[in-house]
Amino acid sequence: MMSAGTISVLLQLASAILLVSSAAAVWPLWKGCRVLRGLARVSTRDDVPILLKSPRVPAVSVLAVAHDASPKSRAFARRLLDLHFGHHELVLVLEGVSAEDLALWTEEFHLVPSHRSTSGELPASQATAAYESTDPLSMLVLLKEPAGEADAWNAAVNAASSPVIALFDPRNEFAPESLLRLIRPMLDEPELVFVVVGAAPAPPAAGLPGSFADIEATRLWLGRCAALAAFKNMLAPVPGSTTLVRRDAIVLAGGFSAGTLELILHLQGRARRAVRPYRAAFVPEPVSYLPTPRTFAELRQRTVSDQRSLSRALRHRKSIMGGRFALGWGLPAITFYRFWRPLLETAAYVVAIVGLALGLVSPALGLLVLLSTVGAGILVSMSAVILRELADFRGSDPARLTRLFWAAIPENLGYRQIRNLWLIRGFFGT
Amino acid sequence: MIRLELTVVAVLLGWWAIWNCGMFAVALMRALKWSKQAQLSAALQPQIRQEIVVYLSGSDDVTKLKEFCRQSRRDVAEALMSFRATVGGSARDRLCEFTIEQALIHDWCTEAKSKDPILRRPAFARLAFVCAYEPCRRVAGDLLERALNDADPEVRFYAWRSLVQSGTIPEIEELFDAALSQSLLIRILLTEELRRFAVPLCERAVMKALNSDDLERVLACLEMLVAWERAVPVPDLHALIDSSDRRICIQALRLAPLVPLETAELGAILRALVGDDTDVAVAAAVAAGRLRFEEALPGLARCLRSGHSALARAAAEALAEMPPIGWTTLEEMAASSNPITAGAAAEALDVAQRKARA
Repeated sequence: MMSAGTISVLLQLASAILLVSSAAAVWPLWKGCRVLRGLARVSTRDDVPILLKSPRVPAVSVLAVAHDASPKSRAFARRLLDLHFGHHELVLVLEGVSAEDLALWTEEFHLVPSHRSTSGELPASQATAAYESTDPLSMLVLLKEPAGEADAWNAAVNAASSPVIALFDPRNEFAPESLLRLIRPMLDEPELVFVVVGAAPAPPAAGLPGSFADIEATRLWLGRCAALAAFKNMLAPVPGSTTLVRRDAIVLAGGFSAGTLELILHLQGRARRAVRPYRAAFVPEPVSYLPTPRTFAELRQRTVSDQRSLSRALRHRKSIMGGRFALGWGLPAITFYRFWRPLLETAAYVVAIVGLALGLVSPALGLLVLLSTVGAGILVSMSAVILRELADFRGSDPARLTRLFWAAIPENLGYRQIRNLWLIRGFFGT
Repeated sequence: MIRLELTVVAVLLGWWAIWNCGMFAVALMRALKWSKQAQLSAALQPQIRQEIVVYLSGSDDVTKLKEFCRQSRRDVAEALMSFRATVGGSARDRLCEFTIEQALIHDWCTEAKSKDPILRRPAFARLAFVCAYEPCRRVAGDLLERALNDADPEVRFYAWRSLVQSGTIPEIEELFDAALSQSLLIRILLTEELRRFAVPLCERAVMKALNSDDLERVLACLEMLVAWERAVPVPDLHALIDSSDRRICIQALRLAPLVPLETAELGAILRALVGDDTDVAVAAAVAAGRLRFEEALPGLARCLRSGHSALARAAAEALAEMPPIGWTTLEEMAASSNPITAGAAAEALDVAQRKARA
C-alpha cells in the first residue's frame, strides 16, 4: 500500500503537470489567433467569380468512396457534383456494393459502362467495371471488390485525370464554392503549396452539447489548424476539414497507406525532409465544417471518431515518413493533449477521491487537484473563446460570444471528466 | 506546503480569470458595436440600393441619398460598389459624380493613405472603380499611379484594375508586361481584365513578350493568350511549337486552334504528334482534333496504338472529331488486341455517336 506521503507527492506532481500543460495550451491558441489575424490581412479580395470562369485554374478530381447505395451516400455524391468549379470531376469508388445497390446508383445518375482507363501509377486492385453518367455530369464510377480503404483511394487516384485531388468527408457540411476558395493558395504559390486544408467552426447551435462542441471546435481551429499552419509542414487535416492535394505529390509518395490523415502526415513527413521547400496552406474560411451535434450521444460519437483516427494514424506510423515525428513536435503534442493528459487527469481524480474518502489526501490537496484541472480548464476554454473573437475582423454575434464564454464553466464541471473517458476509450478503440 | 501551493495556484488562476473577464468585456463591446453596425446595414442597404436605382434611372432628387450618407457613409459606399459589375457608360459617370458631390471619394482617398490594410484595400477598390471617370481621377490625383508599385499586392491589383479601365494603350501594354512576371493567381485575375484588349495587345506587347529570351515570360504570355480564348494573330507560332522547352511547346499547341495557321504551323503540329514527348503529343492530338486536321490522321492512329492511355484517349477524341474517316479508323481500332487502344477508340466512338444522335 502507498503511504499518504507518496500519494500526496504524486498528486502534487500530477497537479503541477496539469497546471503547466493548461497554461501551455493557451500558447497555441494565442498563436492561432495571431495567424488568423495575419491571414485575414493577407487577402480581403473575393476572387471566386473570376476563378470560376478562368480556364487557367487547374482541374480538380473529387474522390469519394461508398460502400452502399443509401440515400446518405447518394446525397453525398450529389453534393460533390453540385460543387461550383470550372473543371471538376467526381471519381466515385463503389467498394463491395451489391447488384441492387449498383442498380440504384445507375438509376439515379444514369450510369453507362465506360471504356475509360482506370489503371495508373499507384498499387491498387483493378476495378471490375467503370461507369460514366449520360447526364451532363463529370462523373466516373469505379466498381471494386473490397480490398481495404487505401486500395479504394489509390484506385480513385489512378483513375483521376486532374492534377489536383480533393478529399471531402461525408460527415461534413461544405459550401458549394469551397473548391474555389481552397484552390487559391495553390494558384498563389503553385510550386510551393502541395496541400491545402480548409476548415472553420460550425455555425452556432443552441443547447449545451452545441456550445461544448463549439468550444471544442474553437480550440481545434485555433490550436491544431491555425497555430500549426504557422510552422513548417505541421498542418494536418482535422475533423470537419476539407483537403486539396496535388496528384503528383500523392503519386510520388506512393499513394494512400490508410486514410486521408495518414496520407497528409506522410506527405508532410516527406516535405520536412525534402531539399526543396514545400508548404501546406491553411484556409480559415467556412469551406467545410462538422455539423454541430444536438445531443450528447452525437458529441460522444464525434469525439471518439476523432480520437480513433488519431490513434489509427499512430498505429500506421511505419508507413508514414518520420513516424510519430512526421509533424515535428506537432503529433507528440497532439497525442499528449488528446491522450496522456486525459489519462493523467482521470487518474488524479480517482486517486484524489479515493484518498479523500480514506483520509489519505487532505482537502487542500483535493482542492489543488480541482483547481489544476477544472479551474485551469475553465480559463483555457474562456481564453479560446476570447481569442477566437479577437481573430475575427468581420464582426460576430455578441449572444454567441456570451453563451460560449459562460458555457466554459459547465463544460469543465462534468462534461470534461466524461470527455476524458471518451478520449481514453477512443484511443484504444478500432 | 500544500497550503502555500494552493495559494500560489489560486492567485495565478485568479489573475488569469481577471484577465479573461477584462478581455471578455472588450470583446463583448466590440461584438455589440459590430452587431449594431450590421443591423443598421441590413436595414439601410436595400433602401440605399433602391434610391441608387432611382437616381441612375434619371432622377435628380438626391435628398434621400444625402440622408443615407449622413446616417452611414460606409453603407452608401458599399451599395455603390455593388453596382460595379452592372453599370457602365453614363450611368457609371452619374454614380462617380455623386461620390464627388458627397465627398465620398475624399473619404476613400484618406482611407487609402491609412496604414491598416483592412481600411486601405476597400478604399483602393472603390477608387479603382470611380477613377474610370475623369473628374474622379483628378480628385484622386496620383494615388492610384503610386499604388502601381505598392508593397501590398492587393493594392497593386486594384491600381492595375483601375489602369485597365481608364488607361491608354501604351499603359495597358506596360500593365501586360508587368503582369507576365506576377504569380499565377494575379495573372489569372489580370487575364480576365485584359481580355478585351487582346487584339491591340497582339500588335506589339504580345510579340515583344513572345520574342523574349526569358522563357518564363514567353510561357506566361502563351498561357494568357490561351486563357483569352479569342482568335488572335500570332505569326511564327511554329517556332514556339518546335521550342525545346516542352511547357512552351504544349501551350503553343493549345493556342494553335485559336490562331490563323499556315503550312509551317501545321507541319509543326504533325512533328509534335509523332515526337517522343507524350504530353506534347497529347497537346498536339487535341489541337489536331479541334482543327479537324485530316492530314494528322496517320499520326493520330499511331498515337492511338502507342499504348499510353492518356495519349490514346486524346488521339481517339481527335479522331472522333473527324467523321467519317476518323470514325472508320476508330471502328477498326476498337477491334484491336491492345486493350488501351481498343478501350480508348470504343469510348471516343461511343461518345461521338451519342453526341451525333442527340
